[in-house]
Amino acid sequence: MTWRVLGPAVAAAALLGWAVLAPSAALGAGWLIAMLFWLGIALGALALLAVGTLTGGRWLAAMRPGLAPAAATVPAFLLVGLPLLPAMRGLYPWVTQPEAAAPGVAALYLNPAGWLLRSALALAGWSVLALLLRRDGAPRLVAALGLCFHAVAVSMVGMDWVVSATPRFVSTAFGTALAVTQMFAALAWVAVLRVVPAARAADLGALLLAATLGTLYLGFAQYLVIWYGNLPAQVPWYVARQASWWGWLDGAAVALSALLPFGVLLRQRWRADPGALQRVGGAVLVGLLLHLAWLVAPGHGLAALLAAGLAVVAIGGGWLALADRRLGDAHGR
Amino acid sequence: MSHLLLAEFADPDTLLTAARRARDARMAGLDAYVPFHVEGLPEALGLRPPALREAMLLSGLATAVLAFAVQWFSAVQDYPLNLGSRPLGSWQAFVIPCFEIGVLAAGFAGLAGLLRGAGLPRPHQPLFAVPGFERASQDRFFLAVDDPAVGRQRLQEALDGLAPLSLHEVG
Repeated sequence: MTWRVLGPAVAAAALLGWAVLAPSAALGAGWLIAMLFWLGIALGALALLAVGTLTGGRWLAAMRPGLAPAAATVPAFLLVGLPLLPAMRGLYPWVTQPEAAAPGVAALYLNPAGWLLRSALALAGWSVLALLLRRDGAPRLVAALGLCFHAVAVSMVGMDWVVSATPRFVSTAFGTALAVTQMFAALAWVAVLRVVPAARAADLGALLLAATLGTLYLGFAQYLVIWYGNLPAQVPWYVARQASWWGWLDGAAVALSALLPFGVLLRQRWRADPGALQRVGGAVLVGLLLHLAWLVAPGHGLAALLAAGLAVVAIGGGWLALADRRLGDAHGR
Repeated sequence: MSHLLLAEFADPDTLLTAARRARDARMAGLDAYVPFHVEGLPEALGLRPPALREAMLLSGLATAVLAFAVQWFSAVQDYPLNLGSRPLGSWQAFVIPCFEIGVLAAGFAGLAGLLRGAGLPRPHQPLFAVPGFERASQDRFFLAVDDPAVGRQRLQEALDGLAPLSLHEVG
């Protein structure tokens, strides 16, 4: 087990050295990618717990040993997010040039204090929900109100953290796409853990297939609407993400997290096979990480991808330690 | 002339046991009539899975390709129209109709395959003359054996201990 401590420690030390010796915006972008990845699994698990608590269903009981420990890691991200504060200046153009946002928006909404307040509010609210929904038998009212909060918070934070890095760009579908992608990531995580009993594996496979289609649909719908509208305020978002080989990055992401799971899960026998689901889940998580990198990294260059790789290992070490320990508790060890 | 034997059971588990015994006794022409999906029944009857999934997949893919070709032909060859200087052959605009028509075609292929596999439409089905057979759609489970080499006696021996509610000869 030493590599599970040593690897993240080395990655964290490398990032720290990088930040001290040669601070750059790419570092912040990499940290944001990794945080969105691990927080995305936790928030997707939280949203699935809320949906399951509200609607009932046997799938939740089968998946709870995977979902509950992941959701319970949400409070830790109040600490994980701290390095973003010094990185804000390099990540978001509106910090230094308020004219990068629409008139009035920078003064009233898109400013460092507002960003900090909204991020803290969202993370605190999710933390409370995670503590309430973690256990079996949470009240349905909490789940219902929690989902309402989540819908607003995930859109707000998605705009603040990712979309606002492109001046004047808005996408009304981005928050929804982010929320669905997170649920997809949480389902893939449950598949990787292989905690669902074989008799219930078909439920997980069906949910994964639905999440695959939902994620692909929302991602493509954004692209299609912007492509069709062809407006100067919208198009630069995709132009920057198609330039040089960035388009291939998302091509790989789509292949791993959409085409591969769709092709495999179409077959009923594979959809109910825990081993096949585990391999598909691993590919999906890699694909979703590449997709997040594609959303954030263009504009910061290759260095952002290197930083993202290191940060995924550094944050992941802590995250897995939390999720694993609680997984042990759930099994009564 | 067909020689069909029909055994009636009160619960799915007994039917499954009966089907396995008939299969292991190498009886031919096995089939079952049940009110709902019984897990493991096709395997117990020794039925091969129908080629329905493959047919649905192929017709869905073929129709999707055809839909793409039709859109490409109309936009590029037959009626080229400059829409905001976009390329004439823009896959972005073509893929969603391909997906939706592909799914629709797969659904129709499934329906057609279901009717064909079930031997429908069929104006006359001798099984409906069997008294009580209508309960196959309510609460009874029927095993059918269509094998000239198997008579009433042999089936009764094979089902010994399972106590079928009735045993009919049809045809």
